[in-house]
Amino acid sequence: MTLAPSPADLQQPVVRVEGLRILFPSLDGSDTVKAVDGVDFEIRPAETFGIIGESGSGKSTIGRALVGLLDATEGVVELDGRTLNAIPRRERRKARQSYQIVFQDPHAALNPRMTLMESLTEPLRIRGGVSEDEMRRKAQESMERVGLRAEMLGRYPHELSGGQKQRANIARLLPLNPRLIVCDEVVAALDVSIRGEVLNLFADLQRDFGIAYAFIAHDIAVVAQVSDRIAVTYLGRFMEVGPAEAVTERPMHPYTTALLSAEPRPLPAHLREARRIDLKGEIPSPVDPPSGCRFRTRCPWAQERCKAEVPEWRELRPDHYVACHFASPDGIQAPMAAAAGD
Amino acid sequence: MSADAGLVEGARRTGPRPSTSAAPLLSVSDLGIAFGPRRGFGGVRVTEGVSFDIARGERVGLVGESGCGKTVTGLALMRLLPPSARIDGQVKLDGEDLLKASASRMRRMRGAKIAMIFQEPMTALDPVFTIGEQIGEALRIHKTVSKAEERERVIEALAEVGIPAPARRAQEYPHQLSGGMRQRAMIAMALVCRPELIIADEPTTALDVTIQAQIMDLLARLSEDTGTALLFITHDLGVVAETCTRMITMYAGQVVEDAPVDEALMRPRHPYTSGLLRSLPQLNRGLGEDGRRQFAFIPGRVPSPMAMPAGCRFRDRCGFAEAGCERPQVLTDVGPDRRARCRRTEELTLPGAVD
Repeated sequence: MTLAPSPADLQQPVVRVEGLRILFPSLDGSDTVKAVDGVDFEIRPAETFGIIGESGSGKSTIGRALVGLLDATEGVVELDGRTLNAIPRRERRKARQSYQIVFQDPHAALNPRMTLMESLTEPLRIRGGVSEDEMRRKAQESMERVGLRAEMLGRYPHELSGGQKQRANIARLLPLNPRLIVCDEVVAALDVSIRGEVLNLFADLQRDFGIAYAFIAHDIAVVAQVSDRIAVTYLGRFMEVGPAEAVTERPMHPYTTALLSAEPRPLPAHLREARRIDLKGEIPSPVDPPSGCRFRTRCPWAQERCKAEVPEWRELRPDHYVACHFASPDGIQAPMAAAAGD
Repeated sequence: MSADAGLVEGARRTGPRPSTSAAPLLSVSDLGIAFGPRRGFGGVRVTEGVSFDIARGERVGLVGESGCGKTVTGLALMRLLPPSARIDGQVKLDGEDLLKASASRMRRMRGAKIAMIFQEPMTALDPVFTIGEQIGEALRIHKTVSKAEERERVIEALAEVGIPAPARRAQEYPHQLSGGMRQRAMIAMALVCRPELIIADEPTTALDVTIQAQIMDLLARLSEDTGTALLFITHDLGVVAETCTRMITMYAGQVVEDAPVDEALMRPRHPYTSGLLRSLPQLNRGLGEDGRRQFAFIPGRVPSPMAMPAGCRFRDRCGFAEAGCERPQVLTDVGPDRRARCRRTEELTLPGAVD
């Protein structure tokens, strides 16, 4: 059953994004919201690529662009070597089939008037060329694969718990043999005690079918646990990309460091690192991001240089990239700005 | 700054710990909440026999998952449940039973003695009044203040919660403030009359983690400075660990454990608390037999309030259930300042946040 990737597959990424910019007009049309403002990355076959960031960082917009739900204003989104924008609209639906998305709210993602059988067979019905019997058989297989009993196929979404609904959402995608699934906050709406069960399911499917995931979440702890590599986004740009463990254990960017230290830890007082980096203020508007380094207005290490110069994207450790003038393989090499009045 | 911040952090947790002999500020006993008709079909009991105390200045975390009854408990303390709710038991604030208080008496208490902060500040603030007018309203209702004095107190309150340019912000409308600023304004409103108890229902859930850190620090600092007790209603055990001194765990409408927070985290005495801690992603570093990451979880799901089992409500999901667990469980003392609702608590050694 396991689809061992061939060496050629390993070389060709599932996703290649280059110079991606996605701009929206602001509500009154007078300004431009730079939701995604120049990101480059790859997602390798059977890899989990985590994307973290605060609201407004552009992480969900990136996810939507990966599956063609949003068009790139500039730049390239390449899926298995094919540029999404270059595919004529009529053929795009077909081209997109192998690249799917699961959303945060499992309740909203299922049609309340459709039984699970109808919801699960719908993707194949749209694709066409499959007999009714075949569709039903595939739906049953998918249900079992995600740990739901096949007799639940006759039920409506309101008869399911949140965790079951999220399983059903995953089951819908399996008959399409996806190469990539964008997971946008897929466990955020679930209770803590059942999150692990759903995350284990994602891991099993990846192992069995070689699916790559773009795992988008605001919860650093979850992303750290599921990802192979992590990208840290801020105001439409990547601040740091690297192996999950390196990014979370030895971050090089001040923003990553601050995010990690802000995460409340469920540990008794004597086991918690007391040090917390307090970020001043809030994420600035993506209409008019700060000059130079976008994070500088909240960065405790910011210097004059950060205002004038956009930091270069540098590989400071193997496969570990960072955009900060003062980052080094050993962490941040700059004096912390005086925290007067704090 | 960083070294000092560490000290502050440590100090925060050792906050006021009044002697147990003093009468508690709030004493909840046998609080039961039900909705729907009294008899026959359709009535639903959402909490049963909820009992706990809060001392003056204490910060208590009320934790549990969706549907466990933590939010309705908070609303019942404020007497904010709809008339269709049937409430029994006692809620004594400073010795006065809030459940027996008249509506007008309750109006005088709300804001002045007991206040609440909600999860979604945008729906809790009125969009057609300025922030200043809304904070001032609480003052006008409870105190006799001149216009000038009101304005001054409002600006003071906004400054106290860390809102920059408070005089200007007081004249702005809720939509002009960011999410974090709105939550600060809500806190200012709750604090302006110096209540003795603030109930905060998921006050940071809608906020980003860096803003959440700011708001939690603020609440803890204000509670320390003003001596206001806090009841944090949350699903986030990290927030409770960092801010509270005591943790009360609810499951399926009942309190299942009540313990000093560090003890609950280190050595939980109820299997549900233990299972919840082991499910947290921060602590979830287990590997399966094939070396892959394996996440811990609690199997099954919470029983429906329409079909609550007679005995232990957690037993269908509990790895330690055995004969005897089908009988109702009692919340019993299991040590100094600790209670648990599990008949096997004495014989079990349950894993906590650390191995």
